[in-house]
Amino acid sequence: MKKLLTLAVALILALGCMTAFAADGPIAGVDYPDLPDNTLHITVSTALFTPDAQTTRMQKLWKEKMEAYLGIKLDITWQAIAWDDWQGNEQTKLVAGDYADVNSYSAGDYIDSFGAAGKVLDISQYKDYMVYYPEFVAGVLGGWDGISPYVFWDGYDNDVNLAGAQSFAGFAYRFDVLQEYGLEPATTWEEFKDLCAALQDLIDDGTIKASDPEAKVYVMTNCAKGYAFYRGFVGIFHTWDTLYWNGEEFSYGPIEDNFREMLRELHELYEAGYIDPEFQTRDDATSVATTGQVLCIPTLWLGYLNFSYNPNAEEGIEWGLAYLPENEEYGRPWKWGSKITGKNLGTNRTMGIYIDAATEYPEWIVSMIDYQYSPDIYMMLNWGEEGEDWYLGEDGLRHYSDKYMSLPTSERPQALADEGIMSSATCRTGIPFVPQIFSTTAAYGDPDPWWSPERGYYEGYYWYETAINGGPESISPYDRAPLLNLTDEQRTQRSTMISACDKYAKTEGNKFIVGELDINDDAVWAEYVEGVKSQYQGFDELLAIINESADLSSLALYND
Amino acid sequence: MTEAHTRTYPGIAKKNRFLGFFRLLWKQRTLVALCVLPMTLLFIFSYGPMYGVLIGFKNYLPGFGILSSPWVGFKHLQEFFGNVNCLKIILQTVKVGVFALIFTYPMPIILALSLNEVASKWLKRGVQSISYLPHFISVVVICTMLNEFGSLNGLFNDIRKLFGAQAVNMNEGTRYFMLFYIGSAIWQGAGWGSIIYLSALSNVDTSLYDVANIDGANRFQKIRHVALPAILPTTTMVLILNSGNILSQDFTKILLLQNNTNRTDLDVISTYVYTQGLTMGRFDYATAVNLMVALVSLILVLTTNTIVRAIDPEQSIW
Repeated sequence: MKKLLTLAVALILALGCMTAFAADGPIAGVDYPDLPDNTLHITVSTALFTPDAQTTRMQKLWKEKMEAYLGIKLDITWQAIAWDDWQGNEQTKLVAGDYADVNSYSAGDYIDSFGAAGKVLDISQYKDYMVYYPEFVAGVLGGWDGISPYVFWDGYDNDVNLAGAQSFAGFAYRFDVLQEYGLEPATTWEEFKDLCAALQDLIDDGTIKASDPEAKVYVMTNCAKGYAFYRGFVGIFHTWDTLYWNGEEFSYGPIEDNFREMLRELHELYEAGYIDPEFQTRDDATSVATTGQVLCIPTLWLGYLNFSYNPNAEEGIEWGLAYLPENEEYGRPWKWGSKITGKNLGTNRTMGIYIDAATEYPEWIVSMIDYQYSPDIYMMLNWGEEGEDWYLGEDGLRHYSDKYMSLPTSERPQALADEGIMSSATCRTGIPFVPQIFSTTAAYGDPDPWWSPERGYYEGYYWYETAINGGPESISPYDRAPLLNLTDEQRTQRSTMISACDKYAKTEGNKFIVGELDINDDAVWAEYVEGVKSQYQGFDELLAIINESADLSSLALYND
Repeated sequence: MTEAHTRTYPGIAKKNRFLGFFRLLWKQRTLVALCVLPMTLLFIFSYGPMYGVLIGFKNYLPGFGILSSPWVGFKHLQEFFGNVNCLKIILQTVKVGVFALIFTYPMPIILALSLNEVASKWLKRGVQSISYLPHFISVVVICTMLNEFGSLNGLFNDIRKLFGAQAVNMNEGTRYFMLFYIGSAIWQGAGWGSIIYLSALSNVDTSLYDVANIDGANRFQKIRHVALPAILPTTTMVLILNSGNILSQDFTKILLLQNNTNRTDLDVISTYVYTQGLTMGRFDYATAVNLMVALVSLILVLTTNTIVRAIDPEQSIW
């Protein structure tokens, strides 16, 4: 009896101990190592966004919530460096082994060889310590097999379930000019060329003038010199400006016939004098867009209108958007960046968070980063606090509070950023990168002026309107590419090949547009194609490997 | 006698020489102590990293380190020479280097000689100070200024318009690059570069000028026969050192003057190595290309020195 009693007591004690141990971590039934002083001491290296997240209310709330969830104290030493410097040195720091316990990351496949060498933590070995990240992984084609396991990839929650787009899915036009002269945005490529000719006539006869009568007016220009001008047009010609899935195979866009056709058309527009001669050398188009020196901007992130062009425009100037004009030969123009519905890690993963494999408490760190993928954290960092920053409207939707909405539109992003709210698009709170959500994109900005052939001139949010006006057929194959079974080294090679070839194609492509190279000369084109390929030894071989590794059966997994 | 002695007792001679070397070091211990820090720095930052050139011959897998990465021989150099831009990059590198040397090398000498002839101390110091100032402007600011001045509505086009010429986008393509690059280098560097020559000129024995005056030499003759020979050793040394830099231009300036209309045409080896190595993470490829440049630079220095030695052995470095 005594023995039985002793055994029962021992059993109870053992169970009690196990329960106490399990309660130490946020996930029941999983072992977490003991921490000295119940505190996790770590360094975090990240880019410094504006404003510095450390000073914001959201960052303090992030820490409070995180500590409550983990049941421990966090002692984080932040190493924050300005974004440009941080990104420019990222690969060098990796090579030098100069990284912190936790590090923000933005170099895509480059990290794989570090993971394979055991320098960077393989987080797939710590799935037991995750609850929320796997929900985002499940949204990726192939799940864990479809992603590199060395990074917590930047995710998003497409909570409005629309395959909208945020850039290169529309042209910006001077609506005030079009309306004054009875013109309309183009729906086809031919109409676009006719519209350019009509606008040029109005410029030539002095009808359309800039605010400064001495300044010359051009039909169109580029949004910023960092962008290749042709990027605004590639979707119209069903090609792309880099390596992409074209619906049948992986192909390098800038050497395709469609691409050549596009350059030929752009060269004709340039020869006709429609394109601003400084289209590739001016830092930014805002100065000419807001002073009436240009009438159309085909290459742009559509958000520029709301936050840059219209708020700063001189009186009488109004910019608006229309979906890309359709080339009858190719059909509905493709838009870039059509997101998959629900939670996802995106199709083109470049940013995320990695962990030093030598860190002392990977279990705690994995759980900490995993919690950033919980609605508790990412909804808070994207929307702010209920009552203080947002309220639930009678329509059942969240709305930002008067604290922000009473401000002029152009001042709202800064006001949100000052609190560390990520929908401002200028700050990243928590440990970057915390998932973003889409419902906020239309919540604090005023709608943009839009035009469509069915609705005429109206107002709408670019995110929704590109989805509505583009329709399902505008989702480019690139955004629904098959799963690739590449080795770590092959992924790194692909990344290198793309960087090297894109740089060459960007410069040479412009030469075709301005006529420095003859786009109609087959020999010149062949030389250009060879030039692109020579930027990476084994271009054709690697392209063949990429195509052979494509798992076409995975395409069936896309549900939209 | 000496030969026989050496042949008979070579060990003793070597030992004496060895001890003699250390005795000399001890005798000059103050000078040796002065050299320790620079030599340490030289070893750490110049010789230590030479181990890294190994990756130029390896398929460098960053995560695995230098020794664990597989050897690939001259693959990276073959890739560079197989690139259609290879010849363009090499020619552009040489072109920029040679033109920069031709135009920027004599300017500080001319400025120093001119300033040396200025009698008014106030004017001389004023001009000197003003000519030094551009040296302290950041290259980023210089390039921003050049981009602004070269735009259609910029200062340079305003000047062109004054003379009835049409405005052109000077930032597009490569046409105005050399003008911008070398013009700004002269503007920034002539004053600063003249310091070393002014210093040499200040050491000229004034009695030489007195003698020249007695002989009836005019100002130009005094420059030619007194001032120039006085700074000749300095100018020769600067020329030899500059010739080694022909292939390593001011890559920051070139990088900042690049845009989508000229990027591949303006690439010199240093910008190419930077973009391939640091922005694309191709450390192995960039190392191989840079190693090749270092070898060519060494050959250029040796060649220049050989030429100088053939002309005047006193002026050569070795």
